[in-house]
Amino acid sequence: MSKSTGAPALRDCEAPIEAGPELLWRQVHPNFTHANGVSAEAFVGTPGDRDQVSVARSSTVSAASAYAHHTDALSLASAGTWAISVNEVSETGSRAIDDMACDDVDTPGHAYVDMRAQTKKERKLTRARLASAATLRGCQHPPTSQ
Amino acid sequence: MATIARVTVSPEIFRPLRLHGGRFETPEGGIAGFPVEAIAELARYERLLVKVARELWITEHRGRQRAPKGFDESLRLRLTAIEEGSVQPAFAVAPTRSDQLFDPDNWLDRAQDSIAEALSAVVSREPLPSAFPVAATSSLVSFGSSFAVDEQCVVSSKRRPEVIYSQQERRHLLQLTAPDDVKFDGSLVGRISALDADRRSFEFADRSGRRASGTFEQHGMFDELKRYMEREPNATIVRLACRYSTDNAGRLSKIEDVDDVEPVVATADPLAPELRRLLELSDGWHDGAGMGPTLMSVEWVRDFAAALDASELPELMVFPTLAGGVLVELQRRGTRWSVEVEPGGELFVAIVPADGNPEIVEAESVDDVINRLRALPA
Repeated sequence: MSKSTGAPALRDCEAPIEAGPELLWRQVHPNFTHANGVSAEAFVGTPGDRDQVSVARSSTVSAASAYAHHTDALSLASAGTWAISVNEVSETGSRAIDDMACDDVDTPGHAYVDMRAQTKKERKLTRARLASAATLRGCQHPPTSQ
Repeated sequence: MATIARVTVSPEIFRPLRLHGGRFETPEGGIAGFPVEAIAELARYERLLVKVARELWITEHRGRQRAPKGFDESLRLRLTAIEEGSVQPAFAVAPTRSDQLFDPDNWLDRAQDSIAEALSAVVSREPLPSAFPVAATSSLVSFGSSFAVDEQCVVSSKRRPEVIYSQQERRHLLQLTAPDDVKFDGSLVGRISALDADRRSFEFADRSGRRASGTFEQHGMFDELKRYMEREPNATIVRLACRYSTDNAGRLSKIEDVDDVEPVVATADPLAPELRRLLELSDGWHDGAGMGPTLMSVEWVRDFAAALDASELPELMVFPTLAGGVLVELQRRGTRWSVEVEPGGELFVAIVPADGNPEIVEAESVDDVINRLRALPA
């Protein structure tokens, strides 16, 4: 197992989100939901950015509009919008980063959970913790998804 | 090893191949050695070597239609040892008469150089060298037909750099040489959907749902296949040990004979619908990303579910992972329990309590995992 290497430097257009109760919306693929909850695997990033997990800030967009953007504008599959808080992210040892100001970002309210400084085992544990928190909170949109 | 040739004169030891990955790796704490089911590759390699040597001899002796009597026999190989460095078979030439010299004109080395040059061209996506004997092409194509996707063969020769050859490279060779039909000797996972005793034929759908016709030579195989022929979508998913063909795109086209059949997920297995769903995921299932779960990870979950009580099953959630493994999770009274079975079978177990510190649990077996699951608050 590789060791933690410290948090990578952020780009000028990125900023850490202060710890707090703000919710972060996560779109979850249909293969990662179940009647009993959501999978830890729902908190794996896209290929190439496995350790940077896209979310959208609830202070900027609603759960419904985040879902609509993902499925309609991006034409990607989602079984619904699930939520974790910035505090819950911080408790795992990862961090929430706002990158809405970056030129290569076109998703409204976009942010990401940054797990790059964590080891493989730490990342797996972080994902389980985030899935636990999201499952306890339940699916946020559509209301009938769970 | 059961049979090692007795030679009275020390022969030159010949180490043309080194095998890596998949079946050739020794599991941690496991027993080193050569997997018996892969011995067929050594026989294919010997056939290739002898064929190339014979054709090179004929080319060099213009006007001769065939190699001299006993030429092939003079180059036959004996496996004398399996050496370390992944798996490296060591061969000696096996003379058929006591007065016979060991390959006095170095046809073996020349054939090995020719094979290495041909495989190097394949790896570089170039046409086969013009000096490579056309008559040996089918033997070249046969070599490696049982390699799994995670297995590689390093081919060495005296005058050329090493070449790393794999099923992926072989597929390019097949495109060069046999545009319509690619043959494999391996296993397939899927469902049996029809069976005809008179024609000794059957219909099969693989994990991707692709359908193909198959035949079998042994009459007794009919009863074996019939045991697993059920109505879809709940049919037993089986593994066939068989010889089969695919088209150039790697899609199953036909099954030529079946050696064995065994169930992977039977209709009555606990969690059978979830396991079937996992096996039906093809690469790219997650918006173009995501590997289909490996058989090893799905079989682990099958064995795990079989060891649980029926009352423990409804709470379980089973998910694929993007890397080709499986996650089994449960959340009870705020405590989450999560087991990831990685594609190669390694386990990662985490417990996230409703209150208190999350924990990574060391577990190596189904029993270890079940014990930790049963220790959770009811």
